[in-house]
Amino acid sequence: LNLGVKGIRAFDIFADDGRDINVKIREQLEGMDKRDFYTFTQQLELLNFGWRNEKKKLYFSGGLYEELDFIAYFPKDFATFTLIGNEDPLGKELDISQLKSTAALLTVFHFGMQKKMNKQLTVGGRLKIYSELASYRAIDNSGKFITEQLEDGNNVYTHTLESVNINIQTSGYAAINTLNVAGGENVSKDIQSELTSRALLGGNLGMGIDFGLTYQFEDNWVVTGSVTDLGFITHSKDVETYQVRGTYEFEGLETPTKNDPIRLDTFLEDLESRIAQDTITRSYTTFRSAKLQGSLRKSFHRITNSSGCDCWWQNDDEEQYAGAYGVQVFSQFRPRGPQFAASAFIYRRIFSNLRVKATYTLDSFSFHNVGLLLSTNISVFNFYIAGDNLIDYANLAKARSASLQFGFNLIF
Amino acid sequence: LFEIVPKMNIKKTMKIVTVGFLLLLLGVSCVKGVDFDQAEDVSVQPIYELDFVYSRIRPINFNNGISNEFIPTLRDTLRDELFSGEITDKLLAVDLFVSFENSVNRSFGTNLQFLDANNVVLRNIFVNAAAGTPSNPVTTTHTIALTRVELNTLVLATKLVTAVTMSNGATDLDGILHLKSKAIYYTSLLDE
Repeated sequence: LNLGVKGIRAFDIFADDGRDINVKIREQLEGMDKRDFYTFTQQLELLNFGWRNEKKKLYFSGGLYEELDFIAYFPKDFATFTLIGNEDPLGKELDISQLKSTAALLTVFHFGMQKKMNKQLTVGGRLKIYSELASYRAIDNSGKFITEQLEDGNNVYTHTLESVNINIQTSGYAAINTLNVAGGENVSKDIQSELTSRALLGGNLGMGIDFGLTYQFEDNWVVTGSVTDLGFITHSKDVETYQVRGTYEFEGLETPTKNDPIRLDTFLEDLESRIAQDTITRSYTTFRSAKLQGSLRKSFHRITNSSGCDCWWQNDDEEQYAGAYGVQVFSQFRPRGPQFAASAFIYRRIFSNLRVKATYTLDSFSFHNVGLLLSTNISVFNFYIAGDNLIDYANLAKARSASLQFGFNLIF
Repeated sequence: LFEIVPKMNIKKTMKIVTVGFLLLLLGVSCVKGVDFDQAEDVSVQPIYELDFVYSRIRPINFNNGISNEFIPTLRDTLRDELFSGEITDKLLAVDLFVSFENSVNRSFGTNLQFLDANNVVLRNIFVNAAAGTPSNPVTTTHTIALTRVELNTLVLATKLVTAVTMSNGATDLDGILHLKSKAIYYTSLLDE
């Protein structure tokens, strides 16, 4: 579970400092910009399994997980227009391209293979089938709404909707909405049944790959790299794209133009004739939000067994070192460009069955993100729990992001 | 190293790790220095300015078009969309700002009449424009404040009649009467 807010914290608005909250909201509004964003990502591992072929030095894995991913960039001009209006100079121009947001709920079926090519190099790949339950995507918007005073204008202002092009792509929404509107006793059951069907390969399907490698260029130095979710989804079922396009200029209503007692024309009809609104059911394809990861790790404190034998090579899978430190980088492609994070980490195997990893991360949200992971291996069980931004736990109101992961694996 | 810790049972260890970690988070986590009750004081009261009506009227427009005779008043009727729609419930008040730039050597009077579906006048606003000259136009401005109570009546308006009357008029005079106007909407988006 990851939750992030770039640009504002609860403390910035709700600080108990005796100041008018509306003044603080306005100050924060002025300080934010269109690159600030809100993200929410949740993954639920439903099934994960793997097995090893010792002879061929192959490791196979497969599974199924659910994912909900949302990002919305801060539409500063629209927020200003809503909070302040267009009387203030700040509200006189709305850049419609600031409307950028996507969300997708899907299940991912995956099967992968990892092979140790030699003592130094291990490569792995994973094929993914996406089955999307629902999504929307509003990133290809353009145009402006401008309120300006022209010297030779007919009226006080000229209001212009300039080259407006709004596209909101949805899939999986219309049918659910129809079921919901229709109502009835079984509406919840019908919606649940529809969503379950979509989750089990009945949704909009797509395909993707993960690819990674590990290279041990010295005995205790390892470099890793991977790309995940390099894929696409074809949206052909239950698709609706809402489009608004056109240009319209409004200077008020000209009246009287002549001695005409009944002239009931209207600017709303004029507006509708010039700004076309359409609902399109044509299928479309979207690319997944691919992620890149890399790390450089140096291990230390070589482990020997109780007999004193430094015999790690006898089994490639045994951990050879009790500790490691290094750096790792992460990047994810988003509608307004990639997001980056870089971490320094230290890892330590404290007891035979307890591992700890601490990280210090610089990312889009903060420069003081300290994280901690605990992992325990007992018998066939592996259990882990990890949290981020531990410093901000001292006062969550000042936190810009939070992340929590936990789970367990059965290892045979 | 493998023998440092005696074997622990799975359930116990998982419990210790989880509880320990959560206690660590909970032990240090809190929300302080904030007052979320301030949310009740949030007010969203944007002010929107939108053009209302305009006209450029020359004396020749006061020609009846048939017998070339002077008619004192120009009048037409528009569908009123000023105070309709969902925004109506959010209005606190409206100011109508009207400006005349008059380069005709005559004064003008303008009536803005809001009519309901039965053509009953709900509100009549009269504004005048002082006489000017082609070389020295005169600007006259008016601000008409419409309160929430008045707006409750005006939401019933379906038509807007604009009538411009020229005093002691003649169709062969020089100059132009330029009417500009805007409506300033004071809204409160969070109030019921």
